[in-house]
Amino acid sequence: MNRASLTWRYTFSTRNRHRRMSLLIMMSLAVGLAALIVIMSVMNSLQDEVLDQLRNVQSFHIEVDGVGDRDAASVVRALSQIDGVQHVYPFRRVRSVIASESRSASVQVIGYAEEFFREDNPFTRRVFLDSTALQPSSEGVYLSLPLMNSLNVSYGETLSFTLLTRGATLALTVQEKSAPVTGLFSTKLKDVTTGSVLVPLSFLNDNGEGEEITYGVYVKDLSVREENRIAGEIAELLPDSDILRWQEIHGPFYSALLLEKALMYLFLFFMFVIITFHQKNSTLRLYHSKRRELAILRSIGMSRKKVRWMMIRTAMVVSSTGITLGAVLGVLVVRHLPGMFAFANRIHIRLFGISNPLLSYPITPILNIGELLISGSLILFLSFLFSSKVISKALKKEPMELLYHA
Amino acid sequence: MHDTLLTLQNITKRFQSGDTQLTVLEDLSLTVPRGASVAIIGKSGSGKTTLLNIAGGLDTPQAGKVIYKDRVLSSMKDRQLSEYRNSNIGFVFQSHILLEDFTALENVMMPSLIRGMRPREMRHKAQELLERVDLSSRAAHHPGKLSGGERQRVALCRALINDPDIIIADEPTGSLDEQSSSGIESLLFDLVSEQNRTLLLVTHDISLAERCSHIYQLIHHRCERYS
Repeated sequence: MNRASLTWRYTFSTRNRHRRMSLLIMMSLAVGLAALIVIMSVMNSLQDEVLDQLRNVQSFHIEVDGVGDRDAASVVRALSQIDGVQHVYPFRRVRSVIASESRSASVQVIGYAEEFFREDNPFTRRVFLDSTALQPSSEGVYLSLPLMNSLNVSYGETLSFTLLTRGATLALTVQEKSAPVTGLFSTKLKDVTTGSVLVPLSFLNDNGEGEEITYGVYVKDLSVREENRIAGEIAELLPDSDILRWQEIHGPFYSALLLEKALMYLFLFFMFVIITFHQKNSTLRLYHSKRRELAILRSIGMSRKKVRWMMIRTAMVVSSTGITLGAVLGVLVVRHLPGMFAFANRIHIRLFGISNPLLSYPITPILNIGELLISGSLILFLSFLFSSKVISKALKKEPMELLYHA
Repeated sequence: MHDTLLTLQNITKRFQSGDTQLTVLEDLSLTVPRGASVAIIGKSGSGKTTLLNIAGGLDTPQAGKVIYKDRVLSSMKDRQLSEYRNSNIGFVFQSHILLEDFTALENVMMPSLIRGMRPREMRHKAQELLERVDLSSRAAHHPGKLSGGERQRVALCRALINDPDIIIADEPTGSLDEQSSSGIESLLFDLVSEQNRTLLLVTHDISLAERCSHIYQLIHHRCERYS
């Protein structure tokens, strides 16, 4: 028996009559941390998924408008030479009513340069294009499957387009066009998939007098500082242009995401508050359960300092074991969450005959090691703080007072 | 001829009970000579245990000094006071307070572990002491498996393991039956005599007190020689 074994004996030894309490505290910490890890991973995943689609499918990272009558190729060349710019593509978005022989729909027609569909870029890496179909050309357009179904058209059939342009009080019809359906696309953003038609830029531009081209820029490093620097350099290069970053393009949606993130951190904060109360109560319970022993040890000559450190070590052993278990449990659940969802959905299908929308979501949790380390360290720090505070306060009492009158 | 080992000078101790202050000891003085056995007798609630706790450094008086070999306890830091309790005092409490999570042998070893004695040495000494009190066969048992008398014998061994100068015993037979009491009393006095220790004993049992060389009565918050 030595001093280290005393700590161990007071924590987990089978001969320790308070072992059950130590184990309960440890397990509740483990479950709390595991829940925290899983929630953070899922929320990170959802946010990341939406932001990724928003930045790379719904818009470019930076959009440059109001360039005027400059030659598109020279603008693309000039923008591409800015350090940090990955790709530059000219494009146009036009509201349009499209009609098949029997049905019509209001959509956003997006015209891209043809190389946009051919090159490896953030859009083509995220959008699902029908590779067996024809590449979009000046004669063809890409539709989503839901739109094809709602318009009741198939490959090769012709659609008529009524292109609209923004007006002060109403939309003015400027062009009537027609083109065959030559391809199919899909994105993870339902609104984009069902409400957009992808066309070659030349389709929109052949008679587009007065319509300006917008330049979409993808940057290499998606950091606010880098985006600001590039936007600043574009402003110097094209002084009269309007430059919008993706956060401004999707202002309301981006604000909503920020709000959601803030609420998530608020929620996590409250979880920490709960864990903190749990920690404090656990330390108090641990102390009360061992108060008698502390008094005896003090009476036979153990100094306050030694007793304090023995109790702090006991609390830290319980906490760090709980945190380690919680981290392992959390990581395991995060790793297997997609499989668990799929399994639960299979059971749901077997029981009710239909897929559950929540369980069928293709979730890919993102584990942030930084968040995990911060959470674990914070809980460990709280454990140290409370055990130190509770024990120091208790040890101010004389040994006999601790034994008989505490 | 005895030289003085422990002196209590003008000790006053009060307890706060709600709005009222309860005086337990007032201007109490007591001298404990080296090698003597001193008994304190008195009625229940007269402050006998408080007196022992103050003498053993387990409680602090509001006024007065406890002097151990020219060292004043109240001027000691916690570490020094703990060392004093660990090395110079051996406590035997009325309710044979033992650590329930540890075996009889480990309980006996505990003060020497705190003192920093080598494991083999402390184990050997603890085993010797348990053998002396006929408990070697119960060394591996936890206190919950021991009888009241056996527990008190373990407490006695624990009090002796660091070779303290003074054994402080607070009604050591108070919670035992007559047969066990008699055994513990004999053992206590035999061990104190064998090892030439000083004994400071609190009891309300006159026959036990009469086995001591000095008897004091705690009356009106002070110690008076009993005659």
